[in-house]
Amino acid sequence: MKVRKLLLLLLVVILIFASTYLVVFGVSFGVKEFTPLRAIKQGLDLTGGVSIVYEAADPSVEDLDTKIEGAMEIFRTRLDDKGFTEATVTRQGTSRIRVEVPINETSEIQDPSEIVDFIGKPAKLQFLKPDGTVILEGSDLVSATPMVSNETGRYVVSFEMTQEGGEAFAEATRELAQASSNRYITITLDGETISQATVSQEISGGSGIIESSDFTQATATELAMQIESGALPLDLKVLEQRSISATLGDEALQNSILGGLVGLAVLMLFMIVVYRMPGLMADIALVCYITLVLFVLALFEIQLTLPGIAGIILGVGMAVDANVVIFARVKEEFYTGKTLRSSLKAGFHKAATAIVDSNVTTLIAAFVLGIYGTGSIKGFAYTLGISIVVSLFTALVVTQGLLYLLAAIAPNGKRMYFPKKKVKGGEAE
Amino acid sequence: MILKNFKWFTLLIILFVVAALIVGFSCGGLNLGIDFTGGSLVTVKINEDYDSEAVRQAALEVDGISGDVSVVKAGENMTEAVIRIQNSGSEATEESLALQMVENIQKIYPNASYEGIESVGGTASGDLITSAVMAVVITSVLMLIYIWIRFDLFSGIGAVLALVHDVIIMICVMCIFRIQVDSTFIAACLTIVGYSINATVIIFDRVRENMRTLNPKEYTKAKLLDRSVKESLERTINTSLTTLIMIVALYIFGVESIKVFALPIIVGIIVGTYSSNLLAGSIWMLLLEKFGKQGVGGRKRVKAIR
Repeated sequence: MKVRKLLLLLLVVILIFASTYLVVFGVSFGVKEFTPLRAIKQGLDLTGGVSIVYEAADPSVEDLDTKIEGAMEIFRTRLDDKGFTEATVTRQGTSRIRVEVPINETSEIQDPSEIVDFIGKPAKLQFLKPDGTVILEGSDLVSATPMVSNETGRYVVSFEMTQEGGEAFAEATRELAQASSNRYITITLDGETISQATVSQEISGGSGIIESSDFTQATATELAMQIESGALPLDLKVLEQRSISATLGDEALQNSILGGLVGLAVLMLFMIVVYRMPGLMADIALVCYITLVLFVLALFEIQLTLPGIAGIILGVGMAVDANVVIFARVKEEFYTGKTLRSSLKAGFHKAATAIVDSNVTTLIAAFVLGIYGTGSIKGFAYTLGISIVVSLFTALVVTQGLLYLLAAIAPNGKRMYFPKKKVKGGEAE
Repeated sequence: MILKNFKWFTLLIILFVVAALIVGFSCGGLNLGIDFTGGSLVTVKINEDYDSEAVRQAALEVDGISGDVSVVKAGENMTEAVIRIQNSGSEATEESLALQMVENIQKIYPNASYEGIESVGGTASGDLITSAVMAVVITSVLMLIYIWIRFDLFSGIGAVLALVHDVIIMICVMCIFRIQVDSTFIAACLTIVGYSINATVIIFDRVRENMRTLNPKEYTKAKLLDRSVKESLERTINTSLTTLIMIVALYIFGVESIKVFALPIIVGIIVGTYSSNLLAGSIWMLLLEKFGKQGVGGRKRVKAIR
């Protein structure tokens, strides 16, 4: 009986440490590799990059909500086009948009201000008659592609128009071709003339090209992308642009991890010294806690930020707290003369309400922060929430299970579990 | 003992708040970081590989630039520096500060040249504070309701007042010791709100249990509270210690951005332990004495939940 329990205990401990190893160092099935730790998404403060806050130039504009949503959609398209798939676009308050773009060595654009220029460009494209009337707008085009012109060898942007756009364009070109003078079309981007073409005949068929002497491969590609993503539905101004250097992020991450590990080591030692064998079981449960938190972060692709790391570390404190509450209770019960097993039972039972109530109240805080917080506060709330739920599990299930097993194996080694009761000067409580 | 000395515990807080107010008025409020105040981004072409820290120090040497200065490498081959500075209330314009800074940098990197300046707004100012205050208010109300259901209304009020105390004292400490407040301070306050309520509820749980099991004739509310706090003391000390171990390790090893986050949390843990042990329970008992039904009926207000 005892041997079986001992084997079970060993098995559980080995399982916990094995899964820790898998989460941290990963596992490979032939060519396929899976390392949960690496799958954790790092926030901007860890990767480095640029964070930009845009604000509506005129917050009183009609349909602000729809327009902001539209602009966010366009931002996402543009960022995806440039390969910044990890970038996040979030709305802040009513009239602000926060864009966070991680930049690393492989990014197409390295200069933060270039990114700001690219995504924040209104990209309002207009085809104008000489008298200034608008023939076509960017929204009348369905596609745009950069290409090299066969005739001139220069970069151009070819485009396809919508049905209505094509008709309007055909009508306008027919009119212009017959005009006596001023037979040209001006193409403007954000009010600046990028191209002017003389019309010699009606252009039907719904397609055309934009030529400009300024086009290079890069600018032609960019214009095509901007046309395709559409013009921003409202004027935005840059409220703040903040670059976070990756070196700082790297260093910060390593230092936080080091700090966490040192703290953890001291804490584990503290638990063993103060609580002896139960303390050791709590330490094993703590390893289980950290493994589970890392795994959940990787599984749900939650962005890990610096405050997020702090949230996890605070969660360690909370996980230990639950154990401390339990052990204090068990010790009390034991000193009243109960057997080890029944004091464990009574201790866990009495501690449970306190642990559940106290953790639910903290969970409420994490929950509200997750909803109302912005940016890194949200990251903090998520990790805190996960930490609380996981720590409840490790304290109430893992520690408890390990202790019961241990009590079954070695029910008599009192000093292994509890220190001698101190008797204070005549107080008999 | 706790209940009897409640007025002294309260007096201590009031003195602390008054001290903070005096320091606050004489030093111009809190020492706000660039997140709140805004500042300028100065671009300097260094034209060679450079050390960010050296540039940061050169910037700090300028009279009128202090505290929150960050240097970000940018441009081709990372030879440009984008330096974020905050005008700490000197008469000089931000541009003149920037030019002085460039002169200092040129002493180390002779090829450095001034590129331009751009001012940035404080993003944390409006939205962030509003949403944080909203979050705290909603959290408090929800916690009050939860504790009300699990314990009684008076304990809910006591717990929430203790939280309010924690946040106020944290702000006071930041003010008295002139520690810089930036947007992570809000997250730190929220952390403490979560941490401190945890400790309070553990003690309340003990009070609840003792109310059920102890003879009300022998144990007055004051004695009951003393006993409950004392019984929870081992847990209180050990938990505060273990959490402090973690956060202090983070403070020691962390970089600047971690330090500004960890320090208020360390303060908050101490403040939270104070309020959970000495304030929250007293408020509960005082309210119960004043407004609750006396005697056995009063005891019954705390439902026997197992």
